[in-house]
Amino acid sequence: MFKTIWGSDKAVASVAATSKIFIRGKQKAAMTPSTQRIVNQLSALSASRKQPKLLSLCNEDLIKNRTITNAWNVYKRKLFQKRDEQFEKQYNSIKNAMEDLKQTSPELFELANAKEQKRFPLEMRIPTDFPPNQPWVYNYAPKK
Amino acid sequence: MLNRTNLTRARSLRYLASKRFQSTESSSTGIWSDFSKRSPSLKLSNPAIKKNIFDKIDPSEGPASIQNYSRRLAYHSINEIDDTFKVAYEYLQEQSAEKYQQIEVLEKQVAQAQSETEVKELKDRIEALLVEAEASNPEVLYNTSYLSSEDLDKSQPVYRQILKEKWEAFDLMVTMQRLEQLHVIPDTLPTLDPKVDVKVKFPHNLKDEFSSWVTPGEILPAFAVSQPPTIRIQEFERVDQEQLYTVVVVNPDTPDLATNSFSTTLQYGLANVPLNNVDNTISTSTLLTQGDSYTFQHYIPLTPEKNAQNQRACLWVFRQAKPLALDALAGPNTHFDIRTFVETNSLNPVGAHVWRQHFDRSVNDVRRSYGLEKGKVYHRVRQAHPVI
Repeated sequence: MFKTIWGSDKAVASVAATSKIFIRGKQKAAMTPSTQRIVNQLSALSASRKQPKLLSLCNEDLIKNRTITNAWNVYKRKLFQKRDEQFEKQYNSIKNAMEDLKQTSPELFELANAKEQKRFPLEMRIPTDFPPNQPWVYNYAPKK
Repeated sequence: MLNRTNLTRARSLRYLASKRFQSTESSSTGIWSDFSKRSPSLKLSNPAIKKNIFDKIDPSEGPASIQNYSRRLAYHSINEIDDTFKVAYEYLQEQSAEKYQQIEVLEKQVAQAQSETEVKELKDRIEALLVEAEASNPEVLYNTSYLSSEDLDKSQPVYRQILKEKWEAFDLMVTMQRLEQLHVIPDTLPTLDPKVDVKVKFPHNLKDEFSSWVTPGEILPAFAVSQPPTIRIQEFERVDQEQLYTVVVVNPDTPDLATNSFSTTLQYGLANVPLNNVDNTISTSTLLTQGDSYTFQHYIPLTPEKNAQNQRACLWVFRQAKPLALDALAGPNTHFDIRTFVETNSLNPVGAHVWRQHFDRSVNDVRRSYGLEKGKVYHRVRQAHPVI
């Protein structure tokens, strides 16, 4: 067995094999000649030329566009208003029902408002770079 | 970008249209084409442009708003814009019609209202609704966007509202900046809560440079201000009854040798000037016909002495609570105390303007024409920090 200062000759051979594949810097995919031609053409153009052309509309069309935008905004606003009203109604009916339950049966109200037992509490695992020394706590009891 | 958003909106709005407006074929039956109650000033006056907006732009003619013939022919409209516009117009018109129904109800309430405050409150609500009902009308949009403010009918609340927004966006900011930088506030009056747009011009000038509206803070030569100015006071609030205005021009930079300081001189004083939303200008013709019944101090232009500093002509506009007696206002114009003047006459400052003057070669001529004595010549006082 021939030994070098780096280790066995087998290890050195494997390092040499990987260094052949290694390329310093960002790796680029090979381009087809047609793509390359477009890239060259674009690189010769200034940045402002590459922007999509600004639409120059006449006054009539600008007014039409603003009217369409206004109508669209009104339409959306009405939708949102309708949805908000629905939410408010729902909330109020829930609130009334709970008030009613509180009056008629306090035990059921307590049960309805009992906090759910969380199956996986937050303190069980916090994000770390490495796994914990004790990966799983078998006799875990939530903090009170 | 515009094209694409319009396309998506076109699809959504067309879906809306298929559900809501199946019966509506023509757009000429809605509230926005009914001028029995609405003012004709809400119309788009140019028939060619109106046709372009409400019908398609004919590609063989091009849009009427473009002047250049070849550019007009080369114009391409956006895809789907006309159909989408039709639906949008119908939708907005329906919203507007609802507003007009609310207005009708309020107008009936006005007729039955008991107190004056109630009437005012109702009228304010009607005005707000009128603005909402017309603000998205494309004809009104076109007029406010592309016509000059002079051509708009200020009796319409919607035009006043849009003009107010334009004023607040630029002219008001310029005016307030100049009033503060040149210390018109607080050298003349402590502060100003601006309510009206005040514009000043000197129409006797033949050169365009001096005959157009004066930018606040501009330095003007004596010949350019040698005749009384035309003052435009644009009210944005509704003026129901007659509103009277007082206008004064003061110069707070008159050298006062006795106290080695400066004193204020009243250069021009008008009172009891009736103005409203539409009739808003104190022009030369107003002064020629009714000038005597308004003037308590005839116009004397500022005539700064040689080597005196820049002098400010501060123009203040006040709303009057009641008519004033002109004889009581008249008095010596030197050592004028504007703060006491405002307090004793219970005036409400609503607008201001300022221009500046210094000695130039036309000052002596102006002095001669107004019969003033020959001006003094002061020593030149060099500034502490030389201009580099």
